[in-house]
Amino acid sequence: MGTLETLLTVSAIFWGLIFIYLVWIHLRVKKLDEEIRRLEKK
Amino acid sequence: MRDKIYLAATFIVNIIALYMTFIYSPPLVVGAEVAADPEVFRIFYLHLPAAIAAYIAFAITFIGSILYLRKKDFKWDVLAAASAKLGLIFCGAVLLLGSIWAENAWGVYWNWDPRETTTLILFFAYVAYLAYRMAIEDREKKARLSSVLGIFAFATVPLSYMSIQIWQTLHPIVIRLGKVEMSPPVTYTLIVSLIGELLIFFFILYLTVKAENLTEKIAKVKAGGGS
Repeated sequence: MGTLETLLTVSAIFWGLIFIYLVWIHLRVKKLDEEIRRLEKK
Repeated sequence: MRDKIYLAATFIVNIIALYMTFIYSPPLVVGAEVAADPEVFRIFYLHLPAAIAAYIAFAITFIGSILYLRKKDFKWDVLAAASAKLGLIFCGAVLLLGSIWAENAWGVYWNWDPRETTTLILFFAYVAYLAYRMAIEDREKKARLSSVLGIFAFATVPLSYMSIQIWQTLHPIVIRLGKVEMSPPVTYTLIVSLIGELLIFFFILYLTVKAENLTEKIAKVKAGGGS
């Protein structure tokens, strides 16, 4: 693999992992918010 | 709404950072004489901001730990733990990106250079911090003991930062006695990349703390029989 490909792959992995974590934590907050609302209704 | 504006700003800054990293910045090299391929230097714009973000994360853990021990408020413990988790992610990225750069500059991925070794110690100090937290069930005991560990673990941050000044190293020194040894395009690209990564870091930290607080709230509601 050439240098530019290596760099692009590394960048993509770095930003990709951060993006996946961001989406995951955002969905988790949403899910927890819903659960708390459901529990408080009870 | 504020979240969306913040996210939009983060996105724009990071797009500009990527443009500057790959197009605006010349394939300059710190220690050009040892680099096999000057293009690999661009990894610096991910590597250094990630290192600064990790240091900031561990400083937040340190401050959160002190504040918890002083005020006994769990919100500080939650902040300390969330920041340590994020710090580990960024520190892992620093080690990974650094070893790719090292392979290009030094011919090996890892050579136990003082900066590499002290950063690895730093990484494992916070792995221990999080593992220790997971091992304790009692909430108060977990917060108290891990706060003490969070304070002691911070000693590895100045150790990692100062390692290149204390010991002989192959690691490039870009800031020496407060003087930045970089050309203007490199400095500007670095600043924009740093702002971009810090914007992401603080947003993820905000969401992580929010998730931890909600988890604790749910546990409390459940323990109180739904009241």
